[in-house]
Amino acid sequence: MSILPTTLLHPLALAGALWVLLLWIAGKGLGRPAPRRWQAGLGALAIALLFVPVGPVSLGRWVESFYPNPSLPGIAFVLALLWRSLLQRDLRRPADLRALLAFTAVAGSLLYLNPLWGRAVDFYYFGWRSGPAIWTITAVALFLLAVGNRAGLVLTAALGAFALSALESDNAWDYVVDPAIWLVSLGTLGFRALAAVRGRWAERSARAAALVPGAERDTTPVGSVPRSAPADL
Amino acid sequence: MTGRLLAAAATLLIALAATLSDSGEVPSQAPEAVIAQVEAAPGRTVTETLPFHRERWLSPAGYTRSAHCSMVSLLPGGDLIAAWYGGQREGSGDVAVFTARWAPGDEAWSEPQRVIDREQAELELDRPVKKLGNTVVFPDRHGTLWMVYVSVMVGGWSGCSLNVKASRDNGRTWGDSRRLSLNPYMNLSSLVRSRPVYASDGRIGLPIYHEMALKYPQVLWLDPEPGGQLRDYELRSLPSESELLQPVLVPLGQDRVLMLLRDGRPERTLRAAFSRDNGWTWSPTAQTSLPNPDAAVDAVRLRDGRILLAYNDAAAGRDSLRLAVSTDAGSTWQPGPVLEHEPKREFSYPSIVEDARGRIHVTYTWRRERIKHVEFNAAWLDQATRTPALVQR
Repeated sequence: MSILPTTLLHPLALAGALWVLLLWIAGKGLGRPAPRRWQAGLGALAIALLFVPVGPVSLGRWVESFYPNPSLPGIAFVLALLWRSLLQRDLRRPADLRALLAFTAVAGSLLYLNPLWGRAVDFYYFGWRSGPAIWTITAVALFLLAVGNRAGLVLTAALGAFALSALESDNAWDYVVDPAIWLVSLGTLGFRALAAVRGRWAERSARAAALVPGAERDTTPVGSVPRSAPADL
Repeated sequence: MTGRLLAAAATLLIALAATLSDSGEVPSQAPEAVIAQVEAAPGRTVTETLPFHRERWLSPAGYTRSAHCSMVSLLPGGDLIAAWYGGQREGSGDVAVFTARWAPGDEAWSEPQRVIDREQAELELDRPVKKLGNTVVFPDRHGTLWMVYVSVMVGGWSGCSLNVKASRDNGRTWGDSRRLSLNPYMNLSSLVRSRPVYASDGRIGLPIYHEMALKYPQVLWLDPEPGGQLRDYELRSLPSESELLQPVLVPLGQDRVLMLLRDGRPERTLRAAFSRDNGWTWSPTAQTSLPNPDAAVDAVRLRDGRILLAYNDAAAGRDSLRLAVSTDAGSTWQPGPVLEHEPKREFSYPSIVEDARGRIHVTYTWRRERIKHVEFNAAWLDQATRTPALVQR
């Protein structure tokens, strides 16, 4: 069996992820970001780890076997994290990140949860042919580029990878979303939404407390509606 | 501003390149081309009036401890080829895929040929393989014989993928395996069991099914090239209730298709759905009058227009294997002769094909130990259906 990966995208993603992990561990151990020499050494170690034998194949090939289609947004996240770990600067702007997270959350939900709603429309099917999926992704990429959002570049890169058949899959959706990035996007967006709701709730409670004299004490009679509760309770 | 325009132009160019690289065809969401069953080899169709019935073995006794999931297919020259898997038990690491051939008039099937095992699959697929499973074999219209088999990398059957092999000499030698990337769930849980249908545009529609979390039928459309390569493929999920799997497609003519489904739900009845546009849209599935103990069935449309079905005749257990006939395109079924019946034994996973002479061939799992072949003609089927007691064991 070959120890070499079949495409460059898999080792790029895996070596990048391992490098980020090693840099994080080193940073924790040192109590500060890893110096330049350490960074280079850990990068070499991350690449060497790809060739560690796991049963009949190398670690790189083993991961590729189990995770055959890492999406371009997923790879972009790993590379952006790597950039930040190496240079202590954020490559991503909040708006880019939000756009990419929103796109992968929506696309992933349509694809992965499709069987739950009876499969009357098979979204994954539209990724096979040279039709709806490609032009949907193109339209989103063009819109993002028009408003100056870098997430459009990531989607353009995904279209390029699809044109080159850079992954095992021949389905365009697999180039723009994968299960891991979908879960990350759902988790991140969910966490942010929760934080926003809690923030607003706290703000509202604080405003209500400031308007009502003596509101720091709970003077609500037993059985009545609390002041901070929504009116329809 | 110039940068954005350049990026937008690049995006459009890349999208165009992606569109052209995908298939080079005009995008189309039109209904599938007219589909049909495999055509019998050219030759004179003989209408036999005398009943004929004969039993043979595909796999020699004790060849493997366990044998299961056979599929018989008609080769362009009129011979039959069958594929199945065997080993210590279902799911064990020593399971291999075997084929055997039989020519009309032969007394016995050829010695089984070991086509692929776990180690060979690991080498050919260049990835870890835990075990092999269900296999189907079928010809295309360019003279290439195709094999699609299940391999598992992790876990049980729901952790499997489908792989394809091609043979240019009717199954005597086979090319390397190629894994198909079929679903967004890390390409896990695509399984195969039933024979394909053939579209008028040369594509092959192979019924497959998904089994992880929810079970549902799908059709894998393969587009083979004349040289034995796969030009393209795409998968379409079919609408149905969950827990219905192992679809069998029976083209009925005039764009109508019947789909029969194994029932994994508590109802345990064979389910059927109909399409009037060559499988593009389907009716809701309906119960048939026949039971189904969560087991595979097979059905073909005979030359006389009737549909012949092989099924396990019980809501639980696979100890009775029986034939049924429908004369109204699958709306109603008349139970026919019992092929096997022995309490607490398993006779399952039937596969049916009709040859150029009008002889019908059924292969099936016999007690999980061997694969059996039953050959009969329409005259025997009619007689046995009229007087089932004569042939029931």
